[in-house]
Amino acid sequence: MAPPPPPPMMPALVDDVIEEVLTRIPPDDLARLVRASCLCKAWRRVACDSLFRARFPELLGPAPPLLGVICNLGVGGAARFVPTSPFRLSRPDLTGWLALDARHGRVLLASLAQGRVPVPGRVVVWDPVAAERVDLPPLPRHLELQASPWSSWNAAVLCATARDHLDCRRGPFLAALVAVNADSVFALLYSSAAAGWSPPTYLFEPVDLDCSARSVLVDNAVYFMLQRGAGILEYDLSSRELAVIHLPLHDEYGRRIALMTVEGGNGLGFAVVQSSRLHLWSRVSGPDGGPGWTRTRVIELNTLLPAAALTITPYLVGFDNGSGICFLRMFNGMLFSVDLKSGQVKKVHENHGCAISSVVPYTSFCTPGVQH
Amino acid sequence: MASAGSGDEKAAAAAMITLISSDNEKFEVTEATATLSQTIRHMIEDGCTDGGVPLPNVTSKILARVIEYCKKHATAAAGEEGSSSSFSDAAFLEVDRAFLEELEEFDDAFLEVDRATLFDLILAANYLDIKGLLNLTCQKVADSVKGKTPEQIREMYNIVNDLTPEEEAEIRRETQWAFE
Repeated sequence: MAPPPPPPMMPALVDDVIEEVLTRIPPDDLARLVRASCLCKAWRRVACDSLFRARFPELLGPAPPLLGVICNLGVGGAARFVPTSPFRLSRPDLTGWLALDARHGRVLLASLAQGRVPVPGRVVVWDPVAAERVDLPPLPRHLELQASPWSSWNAAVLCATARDHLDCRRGPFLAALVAVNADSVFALLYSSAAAGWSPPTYLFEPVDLDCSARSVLVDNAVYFMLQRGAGILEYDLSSRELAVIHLPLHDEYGRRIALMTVEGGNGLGFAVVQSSRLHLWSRVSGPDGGPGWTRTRVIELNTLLPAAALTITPYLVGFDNGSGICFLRMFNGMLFSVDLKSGQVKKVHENHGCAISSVVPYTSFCTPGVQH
Repeated sequence: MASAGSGDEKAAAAAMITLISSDNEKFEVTEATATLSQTIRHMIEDGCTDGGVPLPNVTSKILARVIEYCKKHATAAAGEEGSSSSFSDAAFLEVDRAFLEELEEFDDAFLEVDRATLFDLILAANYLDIKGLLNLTCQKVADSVKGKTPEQIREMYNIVNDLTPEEEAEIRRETQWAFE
């Protein structure tokens, strides 16, 4: 019989206590958490434990931390991940792809391979942390697009887990795709569990979609921006119905308008830049019970941004709903983030080549380095 | 404990609890000190403290330190409850601030222990359910691993790496950014 191993010099911590230690690592120091979660099987097990992950978002606050943004660089340019935190991607260069959406750690990318335009038939859902990708199957043949790909479609990625989004990154997901045909706009839903597209729903109304404006999810509906800020397309995921919502604006705003969620994610809103001011609008019930809009806030950018940056009205190229941070691209190519809660302004990226056409914020609920 | 003193002393004696460490050493503490531990509080409420409270998971060395912590913090709790009526607001705030500073200094000095003792204190705080002590000691460990590699942390706390090379390679592959 083998002799018993020598007694350890230090007592081993029980799982409860390892959890107590891990939860006291500051949430913005994810690297420290990752390193501490791979000391041995016990520490890894606790970090993997769903209860620990369930606790972590509480400590992080109501919003998942913003790890970075995926910048889409102009027409036919290259998308690139730009960190806004210590988080880094091993492959930040996404040449050949256009990022359309990201939610709960997943990114939806459209291939720019064919003629340098995004093709709805070549869409992938990518998990950059796990370095996994799912290629969505091509659309049914009769749904092939007829208009310019830049103005005729958009897509969103959603997790299929109804309630618990704490570790949905590895669960099933949905992708909502909207596209314009000759006389209609249609929408269909991809389910990773079913590995296929749903039958399409049609709305016979002439619209142009803006694939450089990110959609938002409110309740159980996804909202997509129409071209030049002409309105919003609503895709109700329960009823699968489409509807156009009109905006209280008369001018064309192009890339100076962005969809956002309001009231902690329970309401629909949008932000628009008009000269040096950022206006925030929320959807409300109108006097006749129909949808109406109310302007909730006006933010003077002159007091936040360097005066020289505002000689030409900046473009509003993205919005992170969780943190309430909007992204403004200046005429000189600089990308600034403006935290609407604190008023804090940061320079995110300086690009001297192609101008950034849109940014997709990348946040994460997950605890990197852990898996089932 | 047999006592034949005045009535006051008897009342005080009645509120004493005996804690028995794993190596059978006995510690007499006031109920206020003992009930900083939720585990002991429940035992008192259930009336199971006659003949002393055996704590088979805690050695006398660690129990002495835990009691030292509880005594100090029980005084703090008593001060908070009793002082509002006896001081004017301004004076109360003054006392409060001075006392909190003193408590912070005590906590800092209390944490000046070797790493094995720190782990023992964590385990005792967890078993006895003493929130403040658990918070203090776990925060110390969480702070101490800042900027350290997994190898350095394992060496600090004598943690044996039982991950397979495959598991480790997988973690590294997924989270390379955290190791750069």
